[in-house]
Amino acid sequence: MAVTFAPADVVVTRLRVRREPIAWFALQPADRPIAEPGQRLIAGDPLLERVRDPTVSEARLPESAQGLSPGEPVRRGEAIAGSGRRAIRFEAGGRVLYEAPRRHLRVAVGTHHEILYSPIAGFVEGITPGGIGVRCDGLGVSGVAAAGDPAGGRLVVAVPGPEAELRSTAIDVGAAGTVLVGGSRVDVEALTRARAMGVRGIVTGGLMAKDLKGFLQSEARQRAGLQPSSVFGVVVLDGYGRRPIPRPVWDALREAEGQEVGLVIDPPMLVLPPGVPIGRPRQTQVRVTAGDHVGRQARFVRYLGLRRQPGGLYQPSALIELEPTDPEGTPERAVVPLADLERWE
Amino acid sequence: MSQEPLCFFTVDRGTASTAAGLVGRLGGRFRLLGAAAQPAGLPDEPLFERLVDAVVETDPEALPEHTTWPDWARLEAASFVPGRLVVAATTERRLGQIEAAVAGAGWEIGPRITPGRMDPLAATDACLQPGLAGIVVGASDPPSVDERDPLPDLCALLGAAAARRGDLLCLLVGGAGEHADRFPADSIVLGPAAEPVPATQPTALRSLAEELAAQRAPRTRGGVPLPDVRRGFRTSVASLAALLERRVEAVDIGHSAGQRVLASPEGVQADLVMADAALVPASALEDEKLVDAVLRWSPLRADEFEQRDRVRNLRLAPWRDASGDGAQLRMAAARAALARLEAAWILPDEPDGRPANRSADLLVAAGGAFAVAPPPVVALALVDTLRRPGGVALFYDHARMLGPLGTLEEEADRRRLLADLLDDALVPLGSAILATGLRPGRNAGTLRLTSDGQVNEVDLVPGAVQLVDLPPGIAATAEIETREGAWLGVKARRIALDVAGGLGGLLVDTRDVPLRLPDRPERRRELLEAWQRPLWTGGEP
Repeated sequence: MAVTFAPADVVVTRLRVRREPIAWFALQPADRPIAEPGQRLIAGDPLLERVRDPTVSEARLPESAQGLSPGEPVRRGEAIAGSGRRAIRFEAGGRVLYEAPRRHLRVAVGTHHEILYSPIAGFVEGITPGGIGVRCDGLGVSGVAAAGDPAGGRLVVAVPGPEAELRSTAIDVGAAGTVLVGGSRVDVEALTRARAMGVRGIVTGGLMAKDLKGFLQSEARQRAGLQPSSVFGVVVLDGYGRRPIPRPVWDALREAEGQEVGLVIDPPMLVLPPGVPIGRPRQTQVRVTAGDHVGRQARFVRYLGLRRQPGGLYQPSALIELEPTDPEGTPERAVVPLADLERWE
Repeated sequence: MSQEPLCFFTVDRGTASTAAGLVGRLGGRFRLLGAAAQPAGLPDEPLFERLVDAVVETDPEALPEHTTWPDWARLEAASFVPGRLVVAATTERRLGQIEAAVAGAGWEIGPRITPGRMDPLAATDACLQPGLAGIVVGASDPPSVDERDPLPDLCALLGAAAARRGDLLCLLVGGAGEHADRFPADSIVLGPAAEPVPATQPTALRSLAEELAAQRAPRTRGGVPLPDVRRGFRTSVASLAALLERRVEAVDIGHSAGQRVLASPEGVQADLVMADAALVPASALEDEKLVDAVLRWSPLRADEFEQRDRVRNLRLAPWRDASGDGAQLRMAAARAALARLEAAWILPDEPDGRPANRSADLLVAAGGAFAVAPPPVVALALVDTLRRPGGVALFYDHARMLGPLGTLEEEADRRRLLADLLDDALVPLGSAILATGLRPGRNAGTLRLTSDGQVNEVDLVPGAVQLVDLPPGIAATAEIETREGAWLGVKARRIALDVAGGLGGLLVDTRDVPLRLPDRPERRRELLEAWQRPLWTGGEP
């Protein structure tokens, strides 16, 4: 007698949202944390002071001087050893890297400092030399990639559906200060235009690697300028290329529209307010992640065992009932490899 | 294992998928009754239930009391990435030696630091990155003249970074141990100096790096570390070589790393584990060159940018997109990974000064990379990348059993199981003959295949790969006769060798060693398609 399997037994499960996720804000060697461990944050509170284009500055400490620990802050013009004309000072602020043999103190310094503000509310769980961990108030929607800066703003769904692409022509100055939901793909033109229009960030199902590369190059050029651009981040929810936003996530984004959200780069994540209602998907609801029906929602009908798939390969497969693409349509049945399905919890 | 269990499961827990085999006793010996795999993270029980159910449906008598399967023993092993290490040394040469030893133990190598390669700012930044497991810094023991000056500075720099972090493993190799006072005392591990030997050879440093990696193995619910599947794989290959009294080579391409082992009846001759030889290494998400290397093997005519994205998605969700042309792209990634393993496969000369013996009688493929390709396609991927003139029998560890079997403590138990399971666990892909040096012409040569008195004669085509039907279980003698001689390890006009049949038949390959692919993309795709298309069953991938 053949055994029947529930979708949870055979289909990969992804979490729609993670409650109170941890966001990580990296500290580079010269950066200084401003937030304190255990501090409560609201979105917009200063988190850390970033030193732009740091360099290594060196000074020789007198034999009698007390050593400085790695990571210890050094302030501009402040004597760290000696006194009067023989005092050891650095012309710019930064942090100690290390003390080399023969008492050579090497410090990471920089003259241009900028403040990074928290895009999310939460509390500072911990601060290490490498970064600040913040436990976010809210619901984290995990992504697979992110670029740019952590950012926050009012969520605006800018496309009619999860399969639609966000075009650059659809972005105008009215979107300034918002986080846009960009559907299945955003190209580099849309990204650069959005940043130029003052948009804080974009959430997209997919992003082509070439567009990401173009955007990162554009970011690097912006940073090289003396006047830093405003913060702008991108979070990719499903993968590289054209990938519709998963329907359960899309529904959550629609619920959160108009509310303040945060984009986190490490790990890639969109943080929704805690009160956003998140419906529970049906146990049999699955999503096709590859092949002809990629992005379509479906009902898991039953596990079929090994079935021949395109290319002549036999793979564990399931019978599914695809939801119609238009309201008038009827469900359509298909046999799909189990590996190309996912379900959400 | 010595208590005559009637049925048990083998479980290979990979980072991308879990493979399970159901072993039972039939006709007085152990047989592999079923095997299946599923994406990692799914519960085990339904996988085991599916296996048991399939066996019961086929032959209800094959299993004892099948409802008791939850109580059956499980022989488990896991593959894992122990972590990423920053590797630092005072010279590039020393850096290469340390990297070979540490990477050979499965660690992922992060930024490399030498005084000339990275400034203190970048080096500190590298050490502060989240996700870093440790720092390896080394010098010869005692430090050589060119190491004495930069070593204290390098140790001061890295020691300061480690002190800031407080959570990094600090492996001080050779003369770097003299500067242990620069590092946090509770995180120091002192290691022997790296030896100037290829990465395929065992060294004291590599053994230590393996020990340190094993401490990071995933654990069972009871908190017991799971045995390392790669160690098990190496042990099983050695046992197989001893059992068959043959030279056995095995390659495993998985999501977290690639592995290659060469064993003779005397023991393991060479062994290499490389995180960079994973199907799609993690670094491919940022490194265009690694993606380019995959696309060089792709016969697909789809948009190049789209293919690049699909390769990256293969890293993010390796179980997806495994049918249709997704399977072809996966095999392109597998070929690129095999090519990386081949490039790092350096064997030392024999003690008497002769070049190393790289030959093997059997070549076994394993790993999730090959799980969704037809056997002839797997055979061609091996022949395309691990090229050596001569003949070799090709097998596929389809149930990923070699790893778990290698974790058995008793060698006698393992050999007994291997002897019983050999026919079931290793699918015969067929045989391959690589003959080079054939000149183009009207009559380049012929292959005469004799089996059970039947003779099959094939004209050899220089620079081509030809598939000759030779079913599993059939042994044959292949005689190659050429006008001007061919090179199969030895140069001769007439050479005879024994070959064994398999699902892929006999591959006769007269292409270059190493294989040269055209630089022009269109020409390259045409050639790859011409070689591969006949081997995909159904022909419409």
